[in-house]
Amino acid sequence: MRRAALVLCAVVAGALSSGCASAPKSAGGDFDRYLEEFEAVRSQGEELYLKAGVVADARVQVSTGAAQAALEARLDALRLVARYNRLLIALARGEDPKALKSEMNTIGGKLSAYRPSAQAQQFALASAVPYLGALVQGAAFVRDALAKRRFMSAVHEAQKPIALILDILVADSAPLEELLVQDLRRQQDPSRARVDGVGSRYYRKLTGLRSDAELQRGLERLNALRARAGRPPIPYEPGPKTAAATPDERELLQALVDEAETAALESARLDERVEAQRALFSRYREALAAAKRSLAALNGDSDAARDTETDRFSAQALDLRRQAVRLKEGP
Amino acid sequence: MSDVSELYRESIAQLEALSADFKISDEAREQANAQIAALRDKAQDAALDDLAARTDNLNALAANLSSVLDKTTGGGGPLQALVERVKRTLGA
Repeated sequence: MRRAALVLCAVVAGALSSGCASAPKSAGGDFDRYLEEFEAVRSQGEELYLKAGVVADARVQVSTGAAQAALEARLDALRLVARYNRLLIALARGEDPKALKSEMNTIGGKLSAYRPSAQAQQFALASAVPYLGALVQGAAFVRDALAKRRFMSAVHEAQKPIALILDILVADSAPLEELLVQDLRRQQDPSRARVDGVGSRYYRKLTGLRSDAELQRGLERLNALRARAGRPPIPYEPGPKTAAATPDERELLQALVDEAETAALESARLDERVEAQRALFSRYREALAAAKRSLAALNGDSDAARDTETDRFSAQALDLRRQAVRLKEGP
Repeated sequence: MSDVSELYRESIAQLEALSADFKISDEAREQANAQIAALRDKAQDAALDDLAARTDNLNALAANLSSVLDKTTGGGGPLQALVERVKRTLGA
């Protein structure tokens, strides 16, 4: 409870711009940790959206303004939440919120294109989607907070839209993952198709030949490569008129196996990248969820809950960074 | 993800299985792979549509948050924001 009191003191200090100068240290530590970890998550999220933007650009025929605007909106939202976090830090340290005016103006500037009529239209559009209830709730609290002119309320209440923004980012992660995984699969397609084509040529050639130990070994090696690429094994099915393989035919079959090996290795490399990408998204989702819990706990009055959630968030953020490095380094 | 995305993924998986069939002709395999490429495009389009469907809500929430932050710091407002935007546009 002592720390909770310090948090409250720090926050009130920010609100009143006076006193409690030394109190925010403890609270600031929590906030600093939260901020640092959130920056890692935000940075990773931005990178994912930027990658998606590159993919969208590549899809020339569908790279519509709507798609690019959707990605830009996500980047803006992530940056906005990051700025809100900075405000929390400043408040926790007892800084005068007016001193943050210039930084906050940048936020206002980013969204200055919004006009009341346009916003009203957006709210009306929102009625067609599942987030309506949450959205209306968000709009209502903003009015209340502003009417009371209690900026601490506003700060606390701002967590609601942030939580909802985080929910949207979590919901976004599935299509974002799909977008980037399909891109990797597209890169993989040529090698996968080559494994398939080589297998077919090998099968046609082998069918006219009499089996022997050397050919069996070659077939086993090819099937091992195909299995690695998730392809079914090729059986040896001799025809009615089989003949012993000539040296040229043996050389050709060997060359086909070698070609299959090259293609299978490339295909497997991209499989691993897909897995790394999926793992990264899994961690990203977990980190967003942890960020939401951590943010809520920071303003709670339970030291234990705050410590637990902040620790959990830190662990998730660290895990996310590990997965990002793994994906970048690649197999 | 939407049902249509799941449908694309299933269709791609079936075509990949067809491509892996060593008894089919090279022409049939080429066709299957061309369809896979087309379906990947469609799957990506669907993913972008999925994202775009939430953009209005996200922008509205961001606008709300921006308002709260603006009021909290006692500054800015639409006029100030406009001035800042013009400054940035002009590179000032």
